[in-house]
Amino acid sequence: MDGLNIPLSHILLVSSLLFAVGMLGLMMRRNIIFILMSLEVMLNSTALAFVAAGAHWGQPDGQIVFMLILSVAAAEVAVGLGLVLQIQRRFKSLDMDNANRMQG
Amino acid sequence: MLNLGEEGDAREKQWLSPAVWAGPTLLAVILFAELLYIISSVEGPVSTAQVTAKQVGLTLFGPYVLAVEIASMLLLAGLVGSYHLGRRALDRNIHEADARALSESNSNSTSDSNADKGAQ
Repeated sequence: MDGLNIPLSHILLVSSLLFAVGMLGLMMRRNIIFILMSLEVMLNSTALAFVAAGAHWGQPDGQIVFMLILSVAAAEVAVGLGLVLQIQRRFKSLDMDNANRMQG
Repeated sequence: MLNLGEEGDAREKQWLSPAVWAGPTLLAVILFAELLYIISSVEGPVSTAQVTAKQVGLTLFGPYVLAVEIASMLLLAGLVGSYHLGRRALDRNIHEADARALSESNSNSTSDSNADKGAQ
């Protein structure tokens, strides 16, 4: 059997739910590690929506955009973890409320 | 988990007066209703025909080759940036460890500084 027989609206619902979970975590959490994880959840939810839409119209573009989103997420997390190292060294804590002042 | 003590509570009360959150909440509810309406208006199964790996590869290196190049530049920038950010922290760790090892070897050679270390 070719293709999936789930309704497209269900996948879009799951995707928006994941996005909401990620955004809630982004706003509620103060630990920068969990903020980065919530960002990953949001990126993956949009990628899921892209893949579902690409499959719906039978086009490979959705999966290509998924790969591009993955590379963006990889670069973002690499730089983000470097920043985590610096913040941990400078403020001795991962609480983002301690790092709300820019110096210089 | 989410409480930051008295000071944090007072600051959040100051931020979260009804005049501040009423407007954005209204807009968010309108957006949520639009989202539900649009999702419920979508019909049909996810896919009727499978997208093959061959199709994906041909499209990725055909019309999208410029996007692939840009993604490669982005990954390179991420690599260099994270190396630059992480290197100084790691270097400082190594320098501190070196300095500590040096002072320890010095204190072992002379008994005075060894006594100082013991006092500390």
